Amino acid sequence: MEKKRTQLVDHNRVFTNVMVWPALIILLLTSLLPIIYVLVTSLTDMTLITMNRGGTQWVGLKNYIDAIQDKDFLHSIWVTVKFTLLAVVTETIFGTLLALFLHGSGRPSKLLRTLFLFPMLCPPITITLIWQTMFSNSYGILNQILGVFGIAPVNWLQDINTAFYSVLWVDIWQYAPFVFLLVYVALCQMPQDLHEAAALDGANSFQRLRHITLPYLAKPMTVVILLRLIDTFRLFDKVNVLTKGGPYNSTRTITMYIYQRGYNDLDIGVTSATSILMTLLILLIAFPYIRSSFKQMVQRR
Amino acid sequence: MKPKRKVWRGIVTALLLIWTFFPIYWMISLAIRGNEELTSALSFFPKSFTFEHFRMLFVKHHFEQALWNSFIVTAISLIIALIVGLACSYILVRVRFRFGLRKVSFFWILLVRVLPPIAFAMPLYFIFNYLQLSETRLPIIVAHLLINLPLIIWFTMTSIDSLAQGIEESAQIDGASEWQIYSHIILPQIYPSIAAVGMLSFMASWNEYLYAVIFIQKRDLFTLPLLLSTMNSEQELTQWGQIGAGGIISMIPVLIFVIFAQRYLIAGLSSGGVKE
Amino acid sequence: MATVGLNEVVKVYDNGVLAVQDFNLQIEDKEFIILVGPSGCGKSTVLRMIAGLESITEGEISIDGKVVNNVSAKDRDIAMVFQNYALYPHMTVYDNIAFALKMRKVPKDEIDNRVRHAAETLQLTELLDRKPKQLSGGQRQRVALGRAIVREPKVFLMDEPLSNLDAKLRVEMRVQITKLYQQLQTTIIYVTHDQTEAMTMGTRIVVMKDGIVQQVATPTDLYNLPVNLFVARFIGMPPMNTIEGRLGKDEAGLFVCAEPIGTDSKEQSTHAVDSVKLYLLPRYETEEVLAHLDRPVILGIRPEHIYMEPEDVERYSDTKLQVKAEVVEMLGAESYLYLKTQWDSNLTARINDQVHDVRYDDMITVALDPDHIHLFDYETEVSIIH
Repeated sequence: MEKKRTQLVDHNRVFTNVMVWPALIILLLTSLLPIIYVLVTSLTDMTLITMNRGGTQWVGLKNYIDAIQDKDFLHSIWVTVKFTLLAVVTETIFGTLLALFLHGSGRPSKLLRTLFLFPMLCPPITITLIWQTMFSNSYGILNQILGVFGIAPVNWLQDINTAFYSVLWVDIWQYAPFVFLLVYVALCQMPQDLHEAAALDGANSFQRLRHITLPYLAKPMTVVILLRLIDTFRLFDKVNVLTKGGPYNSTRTITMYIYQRGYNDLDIGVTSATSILMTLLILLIAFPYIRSSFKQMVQRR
Repeated sequence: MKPKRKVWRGIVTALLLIWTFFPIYWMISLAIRGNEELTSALSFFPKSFTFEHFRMLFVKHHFEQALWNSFIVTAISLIIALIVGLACSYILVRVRFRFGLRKVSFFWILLVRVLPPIAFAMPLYFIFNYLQLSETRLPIIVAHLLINLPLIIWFTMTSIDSLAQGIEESAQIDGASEWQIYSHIILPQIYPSIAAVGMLSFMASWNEYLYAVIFIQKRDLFTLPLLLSTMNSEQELTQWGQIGAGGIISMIPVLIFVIFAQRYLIAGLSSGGVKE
Repeated sequence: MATVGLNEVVKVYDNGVLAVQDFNLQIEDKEFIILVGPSGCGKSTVLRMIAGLESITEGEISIDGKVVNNVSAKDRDIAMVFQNYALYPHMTVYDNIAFALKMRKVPKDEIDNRVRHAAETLQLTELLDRKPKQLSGGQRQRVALGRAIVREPKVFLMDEPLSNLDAKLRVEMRVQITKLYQQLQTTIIYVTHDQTEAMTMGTRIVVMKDGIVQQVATPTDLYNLPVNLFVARFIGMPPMNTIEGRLGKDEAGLFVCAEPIGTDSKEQSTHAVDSVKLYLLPRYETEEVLAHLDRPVILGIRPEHIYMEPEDVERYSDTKLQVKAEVVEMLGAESYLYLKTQWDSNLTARINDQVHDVRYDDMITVALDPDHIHLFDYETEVSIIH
């Protein structure tokens, strides 16, 4: 018999409202207000000075037009996109391989699984600082190891050719475990009978990997990839600590750019406009994620 | 499994573990080696052993202050977020609450999860500045609420939804009021989920850096990540020892969670996302 | 005193689905009323409306003479046992049973008394400290019952409580519930889709289909005097056999000429040659039946009223017919014969013995007991004999 979802018949209106509104109000105040603020100020030429002393003027879409034409801003978009794509692709490959490897070893060890998660659980700041010491030109352990093999030291964080990839490396190191975890969990939940049927049909392990495992993983992997895209796009922590956007802005991500413009130049109008632009970019990426999550949530009604 | 294969697997696993834990080993090695070693040529293995760096953290950098700050901010925002968020998600899931509002709430929560923090951070900073509140703890706590509320609501909505509905009806007939149903029936059933999301939230707050950088100017309000980040220095190598020590301390909550509540932690993480 | 009255009750869901129509029922104190019917017939909806878990679109429900349409569930003094027990998983058996009393602020020692008393009645005393997940299905069901009886309510409502149990347990629990009923002497309203439960447990049965009450009667009356074809086929296992035919009358008396109704005339005429006439006893010649002369009817006969012993076939020669045996199932004390008529209809016969001499494709002659023939109008499916 199809069980229809029924509702509790009488609701205490007071109870319902008291329960639900505090969270929603806090959320609204902390998110809606800033967004409105940003939208409004992006159309002005407000700076920190004019905000306190007055003198702000409407400039319409000038900030946006300026931003789109700003070489530095565009460059930061390029840096961010390049970084995000490289990071996510590499993380996904590493993470998935790791998951497949661990899963394939018969008795998956719970301990190992937790151990491999470690990078992701550590505070990003701590990780970043440690890698910074490892990357150090004169004293870093990496260069010392290279020295053992007779290779010249590399100025990881200050050489324009390597800085970007050094930061990239740290991010991949930290978040490949996230991909690993989600793929691994999905693998554990994979129904075995498909494999058994395929084995009976004569497929070897490689074929089974290709035709059964990978298609099955497509769905969880898409979720992971989307999440990582959204999160990596915002990259700030590592850049701010390791390179501060340099050298020569080669690691200046969008967030870094906005931060510097806002904090250093105190230019609120521009900061707001670029924030909005960044938000639009992220929404583009996040759109599939939002759509499927929303559908999922609503479907359950 | 053929022995040769097992050996091969073992080697790969060992390499992977080295890859995973080397930086952590390094951090520990920095934290415990004596000052004399922290000069130009750092050996691979520490040659000496000292607690000096830990001591210096507290003496020189007033580490205990940052610990306290991080703890206060995390605890307050977590407690508020839990109280308010759990209540909200219960209503959103269970009660036929003006259907349109529920859809809008879902959507907004998703949106907040996805939008870049910088978009909120700068305006919030300016607003608090304007309100003359930027010297207080309020901004950072509010920022953390912004991080944790959507997470908690979204997460617990999923768990409440999976509860059998007959139990609430049964409680209703038994004479429980709405509040009693919530506190005696719903909440006890989702304690594991609350633990999982509580841990996730705690870690997100504890590790948080961006909002701290933007909102906290006064040194004595610095949170842990912020304080640590000021210690990086290539000139003064002895700082590295303190960085290592500070790093170890910063990982203590994680270690506690991993040792005692591994199951909840994994469950939380794998249900879709740790915020950076 | 606990009477329940339902007056012209209607339930329409928000999406427009009409779940219950024109439901009228007066339940006396201490009755064991059973609502039975196929899935989706509205029986659970009626129960939930009585409980207060569903709103009432139209009509009135009253308990002990007081209209309770707007009274909330917890104030109606009813207790309910759910299909999947709905035990509080995080509480012990003791706390599960005590919960309702705690909510009503009953003093602690009285709670203890009542809980232990209920536990004893249901043999749960050793399980009081366990949690639901440590119990078997039957034990959980007993806890659900315990939770209900400890409240000493005016009315017990039960929503398919035995559906999740395996066959053996179901029989045990059926007996247990019946014993409880006799012990407690309260009004019970019970919902099930299983006609066996309905027949064995209830004092009165309400058969429902598609939201409409088909018949309200005691088990015996329901079995012997079904008011329409649906009830006739729903009650009784194996279900009543049906033979389509046309009512006719000749010198020998009233008969039903067996023929498939609704085929085209050409086929009808070929069959007419071989047609079988089943004669009805004179007492069937009522006004209502005679009004159906030359009209299509459905003849109903229960499996136990089809006989194959030669003496019976001899005695009831007016209602005999040739059939082909397809399958013989021997259950030990009785056997089921699955038969096919000349016009390709299926009949099931229940024989109170072991049947050894009938094989597949054997043509045999059986006779229908003329005293137990049912007649239904072909179109309306309403019974035309009473």
